[in-house]
Amino acid sequence: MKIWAVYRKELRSYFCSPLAYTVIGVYLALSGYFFSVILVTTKQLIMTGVFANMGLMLVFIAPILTMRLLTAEESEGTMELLLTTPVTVFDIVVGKYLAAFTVFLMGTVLTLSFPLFLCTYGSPDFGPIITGYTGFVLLGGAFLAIGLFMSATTDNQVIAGVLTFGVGLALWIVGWLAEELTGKARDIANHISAVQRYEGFLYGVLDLSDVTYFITIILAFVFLTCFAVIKRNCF
Amino acid sequence: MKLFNSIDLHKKSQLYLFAIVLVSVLILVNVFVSKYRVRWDLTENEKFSLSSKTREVLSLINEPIDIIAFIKKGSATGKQVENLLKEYEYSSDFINVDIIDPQKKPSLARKYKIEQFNTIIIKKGKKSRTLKHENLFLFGKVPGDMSFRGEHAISRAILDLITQREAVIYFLMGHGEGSIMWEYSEVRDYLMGEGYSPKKLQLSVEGKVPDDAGLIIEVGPEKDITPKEREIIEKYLEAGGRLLFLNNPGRELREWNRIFEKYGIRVDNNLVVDPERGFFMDVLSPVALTKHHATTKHILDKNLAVVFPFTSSVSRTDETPDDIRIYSLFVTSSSSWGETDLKAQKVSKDEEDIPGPLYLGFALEKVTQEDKTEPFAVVLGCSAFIGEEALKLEGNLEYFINTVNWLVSSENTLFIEPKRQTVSTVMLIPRDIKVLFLTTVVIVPLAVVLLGVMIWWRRKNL
Repeated sequence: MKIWAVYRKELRSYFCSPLAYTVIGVYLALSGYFFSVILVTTKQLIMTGVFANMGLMLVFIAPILTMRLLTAEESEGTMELLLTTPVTVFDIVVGKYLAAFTVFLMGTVLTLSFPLFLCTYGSPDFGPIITGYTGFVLLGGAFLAIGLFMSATTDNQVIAGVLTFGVGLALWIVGWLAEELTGKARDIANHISAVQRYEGFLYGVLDLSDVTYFITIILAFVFLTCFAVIKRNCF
Repeated sequence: MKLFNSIDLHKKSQLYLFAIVLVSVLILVNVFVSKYRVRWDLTENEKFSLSSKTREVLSLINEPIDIIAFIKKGSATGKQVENLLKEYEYSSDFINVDIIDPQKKPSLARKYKIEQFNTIIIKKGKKSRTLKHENLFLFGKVPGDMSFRGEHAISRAILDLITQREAVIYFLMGHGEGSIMWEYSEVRDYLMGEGYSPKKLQLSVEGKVPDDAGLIIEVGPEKDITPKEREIIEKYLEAGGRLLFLNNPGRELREWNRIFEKYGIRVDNNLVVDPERGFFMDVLSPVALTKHHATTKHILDKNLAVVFPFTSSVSRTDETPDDIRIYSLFVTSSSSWGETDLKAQKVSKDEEDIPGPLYLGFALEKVTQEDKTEPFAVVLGCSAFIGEEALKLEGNLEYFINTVNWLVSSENTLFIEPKRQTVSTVMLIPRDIKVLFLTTVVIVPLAVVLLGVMIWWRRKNL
C-alpha cells in the first residue's frame, strides 16, 4: 500500500525530530494540570471540564503538528519529485494526514491515565468519559485536516500555522457568537460551531449529526487538500 | 495528475467540479442526518433521554408550544436543562425551544419577571406555566446529591396545557391565615410550578367549596372556623374532598377538632418541646422521627429530615371510622413533651403537660368500595415549616410538595420518577494530591520530552 509508505516516512520524520515529543509532552503537562486542578477543586469524578480544556488546546496544538506537512515538500521542492513516482496525490495527502493523526492519538492515549486515576478514587460514570474521548478524537481529526489543507495552500510554515489557528479558533468562537444571534442566523452559527458539536460528547451523548459534522470536516478538508496539491502542481 | 489510480484530473474545470460536488454531497449528508436525529445517551441513568410517558404526552400535542428557558450558560444545571429541552424539541415538531441567558438579555428576563436561573416558561396560545429551579431540581443532604425532576415538571406542565386541565388548590382565608400572595408566596410559586392553580377561598363569602377544588389547604389559622363553615367543610369532605391542615399552635380549635374527631384524630392545644431532637439545639423546633408513608417516601429515600418550628402535637381519639386508615407521619423523642402553659416565660415539663413521644402529624386514607384506599387528608401540628424562613430547611419544601402531590393525586396523574444524579466525589488527602500532580503534570510529560531529547541526541551523534 502506497499510503502506508508515505505514512511510515512521515511518522518517522515526526519522531526523529524532537517536535512530536515536545508537542506531546507540553500537551500532556497542560492536560494533566487541568485534570489535577479540576479534580482537586470540584472533587467530582468526571472529566467534562478536562475534555473542554483539552479541546481548546487543540486549537493551538493542531497548527504545530500540521504546518510543515505539505509546506516542507513544496518549499524544498520534493513534491514534484514525489509526484513523478507511482504514488497518487490521495496517497500522499492521506498518508501524511494519518501520520499527524497518529501523533495526536499517541498523546491522547497517554491521557488515559486520567480515567485510571478516577477509577482508583471511586466509580466514575464511564459513559461521558467514553463519549468525551470519542468527541475529542473527532475534534482533533477535524483540526488536523484543516491544518493539512492550510499547509497545502502556502509554502510558508508560519502562514500555514497561523491560518490553521485562525480557522480553528473561528470554529470555536462561532458558538459564542450564536448566543447573541436569533432565528436562522443563530441556527446556522450553532450548526457550524465546533463547541456546540463537541459539547454533547462531553455530557455523555453520542449524536449521529455531531459525529457526521466532524467526519464531514475531515473528509472535506482531506479532499480539498488533494485538490489544492493538484492545482498547485498541475495548472 | 492522478487523484486516485482510477481518476485523472486533466483540467482545472474538472477539479473545481469535483470539489463542488464533493462539498455539496457532504453538506447534504449533514442536513439529512440532522433531520433524522439518531443519538445514544450513554450516561449512567440515561439522564438526557425522555421516558415513554413523556413520549405519550408529546404525541397528544397538536398545536405549537413555545418553551423559553432562562439559564446561565456554562452552568452544569443549566446545561442539563438545556439538553433535556433539546430532547423535547427534537421529539416533537410542535415544540419550539428558546434558550436565553438572562444576564445577556435582561429586558426579556424583566418581561417574563425572571428572578432566578433555570426558570422555564411553557406557553401554548395565551396560557402559560412557569417552572422554577426548585421545580426542576431537588437537593439531597450530601453535597452533589441531587435529583433532576425536570422531565416530570415539564411533561406535566405540557399535559396540563394541552388538556387544559387545572388542578385547583384553595387556600382558606378569613381566620388570620397568612396570605398566599405575601407570607406564602414562595409556596404558591412552587405549587404553580408543579402545575397547580392556587387560589384563595373565603367560605363565609363563597358559601361553599367550589366544585373545581382538588384540595383545600388551611395554613396556620389565628381563629377557629364558624359552625357554618365547619358544616361546609364537612359536606365537602364527605363528598370526597381532600384537606391539608397545618396548625398554628396556641389556640383552641373546637370546630376544626369536631371535624377531625369524626375521623379519629384531634389537634392538641400545646407547644411541642423536644430537648433531644431540636434543630440546632432549638427545643421548640423538633426534627421528629419520620415514619414510612407515601408522603414521606421521597424524604426517607434521600435521608432528609423535616424541621417543624413551633408545632403542636396531633393525637388519635379512641374511635376511628371503619372506612378511615390513619398513618402517623412524625414522632418526637420520648424526652419531649407538649407544653400546655403557653403563657409561661420559660418552658418546663410539669404535670399538666403531655409527655412524649408525641405525634406531629397524621395522614388519613379513605377505604373505597373496591376495598382500595385513596388519599383523604393530612393534618400536621405545624404551619411554620412552610414559612419563608423554614421552607428551604432540610426536606421541608420537598415534603410539602410531596404531600400536596399525594393528596391531589388520582390514577390519571402523570408522574415521572426523578433522575438521581449522584456524581461520585472524592476527598483527596495532601499525599494523594501530590502523587496526582507529580504523575500527570511532571513525570509522564517529562518522560516523553526526555525520550525525544535522547532520540534527537543519538541521531545527532550518529
